Amino acid sequence: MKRMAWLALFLLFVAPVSLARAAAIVGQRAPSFELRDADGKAVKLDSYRGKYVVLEWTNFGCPFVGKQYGSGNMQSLQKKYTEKGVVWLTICSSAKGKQGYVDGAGAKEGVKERDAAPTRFLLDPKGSVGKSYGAKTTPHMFVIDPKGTLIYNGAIDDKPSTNKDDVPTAKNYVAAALDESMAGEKVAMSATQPYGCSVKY
Amino acid sequence: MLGKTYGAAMGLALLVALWPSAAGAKAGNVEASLVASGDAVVPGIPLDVGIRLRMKRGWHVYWKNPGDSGLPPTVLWTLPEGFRPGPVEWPAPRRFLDEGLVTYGYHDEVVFPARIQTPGSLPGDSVTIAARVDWLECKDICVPGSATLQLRLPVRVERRLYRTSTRTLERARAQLPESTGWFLQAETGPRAISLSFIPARHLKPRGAYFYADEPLLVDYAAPQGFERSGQFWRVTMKPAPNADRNLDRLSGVLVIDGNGGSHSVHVDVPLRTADPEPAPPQPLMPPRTPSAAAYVAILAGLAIVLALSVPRIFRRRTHHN
Repeated sequence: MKRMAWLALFLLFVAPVSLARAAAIVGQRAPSFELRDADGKAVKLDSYRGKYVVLEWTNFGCPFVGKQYGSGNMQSLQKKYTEKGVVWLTICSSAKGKQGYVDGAGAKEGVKERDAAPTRFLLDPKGSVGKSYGAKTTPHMFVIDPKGTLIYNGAIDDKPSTNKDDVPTAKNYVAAALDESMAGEKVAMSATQPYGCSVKY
Repeated sequence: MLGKTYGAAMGLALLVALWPSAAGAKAGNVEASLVASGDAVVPGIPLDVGIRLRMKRGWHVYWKNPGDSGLPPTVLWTLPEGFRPGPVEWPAPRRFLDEGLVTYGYHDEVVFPARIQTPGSLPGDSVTIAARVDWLECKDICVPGSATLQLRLPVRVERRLYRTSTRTLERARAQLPESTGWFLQAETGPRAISLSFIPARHLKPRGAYFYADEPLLVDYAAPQGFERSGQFWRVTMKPAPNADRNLDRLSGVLVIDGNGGSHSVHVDVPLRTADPEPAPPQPLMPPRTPSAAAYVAILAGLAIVLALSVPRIFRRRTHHN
């Protein structure tokens, strides 16, 4: 009984501790990583040197992700830019038992259901890659240039909402960063505050 | 007899408390309602209203800058001709910690006050105030919520019939950050963003936290520093990794944990470029004072312990006899 009381007191009064987190800094080299994809194959970021790489953090249960896929916007971005040679990596960092967690089969099913077209769907259930990038939300988007430098970190667009009707009038930051960089211009909006559900680490 | 009178009085009190309140809507884990300051609209006199969100235990909604994740609520008014809505005001938020991410918002209950200007004359004998409210409610998962709230109020021209604020709105206004004449000064540099302040003399700050309006300025998940140096107090924030370096103003809400609870003030001051030193860090989350529910839980626990031990004592006694 006494031990239980101490435990209760401990749970009531001891404040939770946050983990120190890294972040991906625009203008610096994007953190390297290796993850398994939905087929169980190892994927190394460094193997895509020489190409543009988009990292898209996802959680199929999150309404902000639902807005982008339900409107068809995410799929059309994936198709448009992979056709231009961009490598699109969709990453799920939901921990096992939390919202959005998928295994390889679940990821493939989710991609098929949505007619999504990422180059690879990567599984990060331990959240180590998500934390090394400072991925906070779903979606949270990163764009890496062919030299391996991070050129965009932030929100998918400038209309923070879960409303599909906002997609057509929103300015898409990922498309803008890719278009500007491919045209040899400086990326005008290279960092924004991402919006969405928290990544379910 | 006495009991009956007491009951009737209680009933009356309840009726009075509920009377000027309004139409509500329940959606998921949050119940939204529109409350007004009076039981009528008087032409030419501003109408104080409030959007009230009541959340189920564990759920929260967000402040205007939600922090690491989330989305602030939005309000879209539909008002009769000649009515002009003022801005929806944001009570001081609190912070939530979730797997190393820090967000800003409200739990249990929040009321966002707004003042609506009314025209000098009104043709009908009643008006309908409507608000479409959208919000994001989160616990371990997030769900969008939405409600269309309506409040029908009679038009009264006799000013003496105009009722003053309900307690709900008074309480809500009391939770808004105060605009003060305090000395406030902000500096930004590579190591820290620093806000120096001299609070009202009666406040004895034990800690402080700054909620920035601007996105992508401070690192929400980093503990903020706090110290006293001479006549100033100072709160320091770690700059966000990809912070916008060209900001020339610091705006937001400074919450001071002092004697007599917390005190919140509006901040909107020039942001000077320098190299302020980070102050000693404070815990990321405020020290937890047990809530009323926790006290109830503790009392319940004590009651169980007593209930279990009393018969044992009793048994022991009978045994001795």
